[in-house]
Amino acid sequence: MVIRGGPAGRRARMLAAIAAAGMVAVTVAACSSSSSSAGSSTSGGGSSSSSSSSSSSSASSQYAPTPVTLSAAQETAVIGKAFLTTSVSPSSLNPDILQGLEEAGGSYTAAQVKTAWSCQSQTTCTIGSGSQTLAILDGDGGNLWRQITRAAITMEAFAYPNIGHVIYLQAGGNLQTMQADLKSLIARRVTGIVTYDDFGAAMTAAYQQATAQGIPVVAYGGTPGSGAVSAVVSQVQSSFCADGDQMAQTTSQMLGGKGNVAFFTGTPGNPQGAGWETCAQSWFAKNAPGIAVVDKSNTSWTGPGAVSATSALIATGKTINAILYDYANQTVNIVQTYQHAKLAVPDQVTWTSDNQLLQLWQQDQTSSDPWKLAYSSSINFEGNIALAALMNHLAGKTVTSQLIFPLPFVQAKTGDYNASQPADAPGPTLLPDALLTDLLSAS
Amino acid sequence: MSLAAPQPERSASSGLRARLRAPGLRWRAMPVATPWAVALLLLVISVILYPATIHYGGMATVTPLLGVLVIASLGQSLVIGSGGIDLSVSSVITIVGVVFVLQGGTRGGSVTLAIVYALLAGLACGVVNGFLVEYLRLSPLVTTLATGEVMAGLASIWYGGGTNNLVVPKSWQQFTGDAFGDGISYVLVIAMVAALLLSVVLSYTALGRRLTAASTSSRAAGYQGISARRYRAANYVVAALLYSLAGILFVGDIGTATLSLGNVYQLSTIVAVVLGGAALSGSRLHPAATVAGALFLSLINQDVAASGIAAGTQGVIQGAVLVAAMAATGLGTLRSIRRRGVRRSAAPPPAPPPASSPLGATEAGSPTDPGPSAP
Repeated sequence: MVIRGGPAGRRARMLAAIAAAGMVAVTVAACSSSSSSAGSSTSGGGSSSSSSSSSSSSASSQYAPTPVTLSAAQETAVIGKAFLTTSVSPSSLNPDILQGLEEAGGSYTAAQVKTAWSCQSQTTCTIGSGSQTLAILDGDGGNLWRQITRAAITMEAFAYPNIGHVIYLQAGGNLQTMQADLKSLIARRVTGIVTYDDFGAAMTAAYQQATAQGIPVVAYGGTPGSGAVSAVVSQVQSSFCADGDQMAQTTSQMLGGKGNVAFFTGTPGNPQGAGWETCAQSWFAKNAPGIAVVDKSNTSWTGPGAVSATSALIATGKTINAILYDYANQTVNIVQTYQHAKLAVPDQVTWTSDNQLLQLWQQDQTSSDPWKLAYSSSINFEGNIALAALMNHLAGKTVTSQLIFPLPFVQAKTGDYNASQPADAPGPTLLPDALLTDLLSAS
Repeated sequence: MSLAAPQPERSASSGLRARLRAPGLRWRAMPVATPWAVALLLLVISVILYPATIHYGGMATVTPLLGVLVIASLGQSLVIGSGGIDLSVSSVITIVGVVFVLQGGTRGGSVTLAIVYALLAGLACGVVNGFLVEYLRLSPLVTTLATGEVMAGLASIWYGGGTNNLVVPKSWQQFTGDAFGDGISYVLVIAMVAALLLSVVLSYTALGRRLTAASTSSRAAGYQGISARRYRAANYVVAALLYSLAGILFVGDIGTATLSLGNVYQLSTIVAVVLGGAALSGSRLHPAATVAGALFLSLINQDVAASGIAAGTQGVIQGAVLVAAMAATGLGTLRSIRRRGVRRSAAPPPAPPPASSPLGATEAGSPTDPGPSAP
């Protein structure tokens, strides 16, 4: 053969060696790429530990956000707006939570806001030229809270230059629809999914399927629960037990440590209600024995349900000093039912915020029977934290399996009611004002 | 009525007693008396358990919901009476609520127009249901479920996918939430008037008798020259108008419309009608019995909720009481039928059927012009 002898042969052997080395390098690179891809595809589902991360370091840049730089004052303002209080310090928050809040409260251009608004009426929306596709999978989708949260996630997606498309699917409260939606997202090979899971653990197997296909899932608000640690990257929510403690503590302050209280929650046995009710009751027993829990009712989280439950409570003839509930929108129904019955409205402690509730409260402050109201943030930022966690996971960072944020309760004060906003406006959000105005004026 | 033929030698009081004992009257009263006896028994138990039930607060908050249930159940009873079933009730109430707030809840909106539009929305659904079920002979169960889906879809589209949460005008909220006396809601008064009107129309007018005849047996009605299909289709239309009325009142009581506004009435109206002694296969209509069924259902729902016991136990108790109530009303009616059968076979010359038997139209002689029945 030519390459065996003479200078020409030596050159040929050198060239062959270089070519071989090149091929090896290419092969190694390809294998490396392949393994990193595989790592990425299984990292969300393989771990049963309390944290997960994507193993690809080369991928980190393509999932990185445009850096958000906030001054200390801006950061404090964002957190104050998110939690309605400045008592939550940035250092006390998980980095993923802080990142999600900062991205949600970041600055966005008018064009981006306009695009985000137009996305609200589309199931598939193009927000940029990037190749990545973010999917928002909503188990219900049929109320203003979900739509604001959806808008907040879409807005935040602009912080990630490689996200070019946002898909939004809502299941309308139907488990089969949600499972079919998830399968369609898998078939479309989306980059990642953030989901509000209205069906709890029933969706775990479907999430597992997505994770096995290399599509990570992060749940916020409604979550599949502790049994789904390997099925989803992370679950974003407040601690139900800590919320119950907070509600009990706030109630005790309002009642001066004695009185009768009633607990209202949505569907019987829902983990959220069961969580806060148990802990609130324990807190009362331990710290405020003068407060008795004399009634527990279910409303199915519907207006008619809240009216029926309140009506039944009134029929018992028991004196109720405070009602603790986990949805401000229907605390309105509770208050109005008491007003129809011409009875003094008990003090109200409720999750989330509602403009009409604040209006009712403000109107009654000048009446002979003023009542107290404590409420929390409307926590529309849950989805923002979920997106930050999803992208951090894809970028190979470690994300804890549960991202728990605090839920402080604040007492209503004059000025909290905003007459320029519609009845069900959810109070302060981190959305750009222009986008929130569009959303609220549409409603 | 021939069985209560005048007997001049009797005094007025003995005549009345005789009429009350008359098998025909007993036959007519039994389907109403039994559900009322059961409902009133539960009312007594409720008052013993929760005396505040009849205080102003209890009455003022329960009676509006009872009124809405009564009105919606009256509509359902018309359809069930003809052997059909209407599963569009929840969607009609929802879309009516949505249409109402879209007109009345926006700046410059009019409550009157809101009521008109809302009634028209319900009317449209009733016309479609009646046409599909009676003229195209489609299954009422699937048809009304499907039209309900369409209505729910339209409500979602018009209401921005549920993001809207418009508030009902204050004046309408005050009217539906207001009460008089010891807390009797005006909504309940409207419901009682509706029930009374329906009773009078069904029992004392030619229209009502034809409707009853067409509902209970369309073939027999056809032999009498009654256009049964038209009357049966009209049942769906009147039912939808009643659901619309219920929806208009209900949205005022709740204060805002949501896409799940009418969900609670999907099955509760059927339960109320059946508790009133109606057979799902079709039977003579007794609005008063339907009112009793609705009262019973409202009371049991409230009592169980007020008990404060665990949700699972509540379900067990509620289910068991409902079965017991069904058995009581069903047995009462069966006994009445048996007694009537025995009497008929024992009597040597067969007595003419009572004027108000299910085929009321024939009993007055002319199939097309039944005329007013005897009291």
